[in-house]
Amino acid sequence: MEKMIRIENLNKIYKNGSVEVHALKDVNMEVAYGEFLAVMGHSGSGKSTLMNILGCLDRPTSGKYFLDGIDIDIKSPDELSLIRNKKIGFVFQAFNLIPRTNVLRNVELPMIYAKVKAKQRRERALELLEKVGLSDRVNHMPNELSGGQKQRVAIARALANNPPIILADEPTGNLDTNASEEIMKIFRDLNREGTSIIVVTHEPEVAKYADRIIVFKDGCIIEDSRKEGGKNYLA
Amino acid sequence: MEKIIWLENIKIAFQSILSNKMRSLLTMLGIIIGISSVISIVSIGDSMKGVMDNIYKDFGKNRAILYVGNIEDFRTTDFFYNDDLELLKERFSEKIVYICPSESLRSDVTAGRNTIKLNMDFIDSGYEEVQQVKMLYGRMINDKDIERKSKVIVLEQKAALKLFGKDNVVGKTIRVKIDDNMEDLLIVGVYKIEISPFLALMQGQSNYENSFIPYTMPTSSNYAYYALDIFINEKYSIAVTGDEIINYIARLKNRTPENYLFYTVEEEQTQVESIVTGLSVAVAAIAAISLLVGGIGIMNIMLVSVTERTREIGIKKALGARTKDVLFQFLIESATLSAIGGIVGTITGIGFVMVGGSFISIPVVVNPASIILAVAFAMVIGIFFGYYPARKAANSDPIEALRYE
Repeated sequence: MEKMIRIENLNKIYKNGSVEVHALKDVNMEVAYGEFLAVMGHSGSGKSTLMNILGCLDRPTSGKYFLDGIDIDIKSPDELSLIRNKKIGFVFQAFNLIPRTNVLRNVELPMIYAKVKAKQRRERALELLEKVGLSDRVNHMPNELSGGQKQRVAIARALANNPPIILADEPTGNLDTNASEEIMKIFRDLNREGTSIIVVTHEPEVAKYADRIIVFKDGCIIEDSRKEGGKNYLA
Repeated sequence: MEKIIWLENIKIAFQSILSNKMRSLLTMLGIIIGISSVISIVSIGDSMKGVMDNIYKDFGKNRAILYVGNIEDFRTTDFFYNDDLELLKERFSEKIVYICPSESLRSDVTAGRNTIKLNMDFIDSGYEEVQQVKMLYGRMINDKDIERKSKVIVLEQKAALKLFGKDNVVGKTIRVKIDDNMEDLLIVGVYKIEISPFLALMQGQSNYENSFIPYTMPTSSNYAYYALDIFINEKYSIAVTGDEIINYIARLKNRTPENYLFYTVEEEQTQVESIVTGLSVAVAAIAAISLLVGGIGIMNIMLVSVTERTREIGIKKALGARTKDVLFQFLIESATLSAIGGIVGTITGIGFVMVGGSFISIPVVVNPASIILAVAFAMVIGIFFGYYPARKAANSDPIEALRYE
């Protein structure tokens, strides 16, 4: 069966003047549909580079990347935009909500690019905001929200076009313990509903929500472990 | 479904313009000044034409003057005589509605202790039908006056007031000097001419008061005129009729048509209007240069705006915005900015001209086409100068953009 994500001999080399940085070295990896994966490692280990490539924001220097069966390498920038729009939900450490734009419109944004009509857009956005428990904040501006609330808006936005996978880059990095727990519980619930989730983190408390942990060091996978009991180990 | 993106982009554009009100206003200032100067200059030109048109209407648009041109071996018969007038009237009975020597006399007139300088225009009967003459008292010069060479005069109200201190002076007699003879003329009417204030301004202050006398009264059959005042029937072409009259009079005088000249109000108006149009186009073109400066202002601010929103652009790209979605967002923003500037500039320009026009009390003409043109041009400026910043935004790398602080 085709995997959600398949990576073959992936290399990423950054050139900074005469200095070459080998950020990813011959990485091979597969992620199945419905998996909850945590990618761990110190800063500079290559995990963020991997995230950018998985998110179709960056291209590998060499190697193959298939997302949902699509060969990402042969796509134009606009085709990649479309893939990001339909297939991937992004959740960032810095929340990355659009400033001076209310919560509702932030959640609607991916649907605008997906050309969903205004009425359906609004209905879907309200539905998602209810799901993350922010029904009473739809008309607030991002700067009127707490960190946890911002991240919940970001999750609602990531879910807008019902993507098969969510990529979360240090989603709890700017949050306190309570808010972090809240966010991770939402991810866990989403995963139980069938969405694949990849979380990049360096915190073991966050990683423990995942049922598979990959650890990066110096651009290589040094550990790939599955939790006993799979998805239900926290229940 | 591209419509969705367009609508959203317009919303985003307004949102961004409104969230930076002061900056947006300053950005628009260049466009506002440029458009308002273009609009007011074009409108001043149009208003001038309107004023001119009124002046020519007052003067008589179907009016022409036939006069003796440059003749080397000059003969007295080249001039016009009363017999020629009769021949012309007969020959062109259909096409000429009024014809009279373009002639006047001047004399001092005294009544009691008041003395005025009086200008006496020669007129034929029916003058009131081709010119705006408002009779206040009595009557105008009529057929019988012409036929009998009656010693009568019709005074302008101002002349009557200055002479007698009142304007109802019908029946009184005044003594004037005509061809070295003193003549007593009976006042049969008092009139008033309503001309536009602008024409009055152009005519300036004159020491002379005005009046009309029958052209036949001071003249004998050998009185020679240099010029004839002619009104052409509006059903006929003035230029064509003019040629016919010149050909006829040249044959009559045994001359070539080149020896006579036919000045028409119509021709002059066309010339003057083309000069006014040329001038206003030239000045408007200079004013349009300020639009370029305004456009550069927009480009400048859009570049700042793109840099400021680098992160926003990165987020949008990550969420699925294509190159052209970002491009359109910024193009629409700069086009909206300049279109609003264009509209405000149009209103300011019209306001300017309206206020100015009301000061010198002339009717202001604003051509709707120039408004549409101005706003459209402003938008084109916005799109042209907004393209480079928008392109820069659209082509930015999402990772770089997301990393931007």
